[in-house]
Amino acid sequence: MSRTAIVSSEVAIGEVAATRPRKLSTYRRIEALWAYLFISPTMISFFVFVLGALIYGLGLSLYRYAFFAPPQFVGLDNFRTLLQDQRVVNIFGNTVYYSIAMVAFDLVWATAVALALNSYMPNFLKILYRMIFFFPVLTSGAVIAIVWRYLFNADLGIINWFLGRFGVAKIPWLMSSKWVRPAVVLFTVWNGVGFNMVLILAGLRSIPKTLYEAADIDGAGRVATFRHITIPLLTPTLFFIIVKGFIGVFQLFDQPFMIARGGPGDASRSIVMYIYELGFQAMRLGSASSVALVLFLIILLITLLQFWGGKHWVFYR
Amino acid sequence: MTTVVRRQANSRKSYWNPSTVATVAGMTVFSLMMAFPFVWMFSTSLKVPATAFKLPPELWPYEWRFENYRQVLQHPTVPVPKFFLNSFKIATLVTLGQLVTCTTAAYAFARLRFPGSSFLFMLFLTSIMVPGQVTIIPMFILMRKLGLMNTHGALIVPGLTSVFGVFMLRQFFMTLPNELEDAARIDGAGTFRILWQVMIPLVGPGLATLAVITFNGSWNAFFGPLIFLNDWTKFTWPLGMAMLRGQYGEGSMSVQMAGISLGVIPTAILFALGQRFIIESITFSGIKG
Repeated sequence: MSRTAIVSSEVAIGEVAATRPRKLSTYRRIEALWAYLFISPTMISFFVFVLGALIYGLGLSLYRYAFFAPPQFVGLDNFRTLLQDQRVVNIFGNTVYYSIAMVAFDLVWATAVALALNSYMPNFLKILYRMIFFFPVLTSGAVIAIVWRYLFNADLGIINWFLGRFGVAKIPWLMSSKWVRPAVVLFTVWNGVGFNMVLILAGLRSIPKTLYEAADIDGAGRVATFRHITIPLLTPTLFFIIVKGFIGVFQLFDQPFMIARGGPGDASRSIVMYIYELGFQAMRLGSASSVALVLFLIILLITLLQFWGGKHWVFYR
Repeated sequence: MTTVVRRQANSRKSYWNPSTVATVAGMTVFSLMMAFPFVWMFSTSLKVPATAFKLPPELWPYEWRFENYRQVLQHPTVPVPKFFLNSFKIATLVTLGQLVTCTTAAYAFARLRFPGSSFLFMLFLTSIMVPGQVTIIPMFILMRKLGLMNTHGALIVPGLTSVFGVFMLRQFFMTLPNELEDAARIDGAGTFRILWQVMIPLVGPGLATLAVITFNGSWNAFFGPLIFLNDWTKFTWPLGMAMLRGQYGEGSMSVQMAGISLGVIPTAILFALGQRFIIESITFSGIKG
């Protein structure tokens, strides 16, 4: 009873206060205070660990910081060295390869499976297949890489044995600079395709059946229907997957690290692996920060470009 | 009337048409290939390494050798049970933390009015664009200054909040009708009570999904523990599996597979219990986003 009385009086005060010109009525004030309390842990964490860290990282990239010596200001030197570093060129090349190969491969795979799961088949099979395709997403990329290392083994691995039955010669997957990147792509896409499959399936299901019926009446074949109805209406989902995919590939670490430690030489090394090496093995924190900053800017740039380009091909209802 | 009933009874096509059979056949082959690594992993964990490398692969082990599991749990040099304990402790704390902080923050952004709410939320969204790896070096220095280096705290404290979690739960809160809150206020409930007794019970699936995703993400995390933990008794499970391999890969393959199989069990359990929730939530936010 007393609680109700207090809260009712809260409301009453608020109403009275609202008639007076005032910035925020007491009622609103209390609501706002609760709100600030509620968001405070997340806010503090954001300002310290995200914003603060980002700005600090920005500053750090202008220094030469060898960790056991005090940092020295070197201005843009770190960036100059970066541009001349041959390894950086190779590693960025790897990342370009990874992004295009992984996003494309993932999209095709996820779309094919989603289309199959959206077609006419027994429901329990749909659920079963969906579970099998989605499960790898939940496992640890770093740990399953250990399993895939053995699968990719040139002499004793299952993959080469399987290919051998079709007459294909033994491929030195993780030992050859030519084959290690496809291996990383195959493993990483296997790890993540289930997620995109679910997204595309949701997108497929949201296409109104009436459109398909109309197309059918107009005599459209399966290919035409696919090209002119399914794909256009799927573009928002595909756009989301592509944007997210590129951002994800640029942050790749666990999979290439655990499956080949960067491959023969630098063949499969990702940018984040290089940041790790610079910052935590060579202890050159300034250089590592500069690479990290460049990485961040590139991700930002690519995402903005994609949004700009998206206006032209994404179809919103 | 009778015509309608008859049409419905006959509208179920048979599954035995060529298109469906072909799709099912293809999907079966595909899913076998998809699931193969796990099958191989589990089967190898039950064999002696010598037989494990036999080709063609003997997937159903001749004799089930649980010895490997005993070896991995009582490993002379690598404290595997400790790794599982560490991972469990960190994952639980992080999950509980996020359940509390994300729910309250999401509710505030979704339903409460306060100055700066849209600006702050926009700011939040930008942090999704900042990958964790970009801030890792400042975090490393910060953790050193805070004295959290080489402790589990370095992994737990930043993990107690999550912008992604706030974002996801906010979507859920926004689907609840405004009238609920109005009704509760008329009945005299204050803000906190509304949240606790009205809103939270209604976003149960959202909370379940957040809990599963967070726990699983923490359980599987590799990069963070790699950076912040030096002391191998503090290692989490993924780091521990890397240790089982040994410096030059001399660890027994079957023992490694046993360790990994054990580590995948919590994921499998969460998946079995929550897969409907998880997949529905992804679907749900996929449509909105």
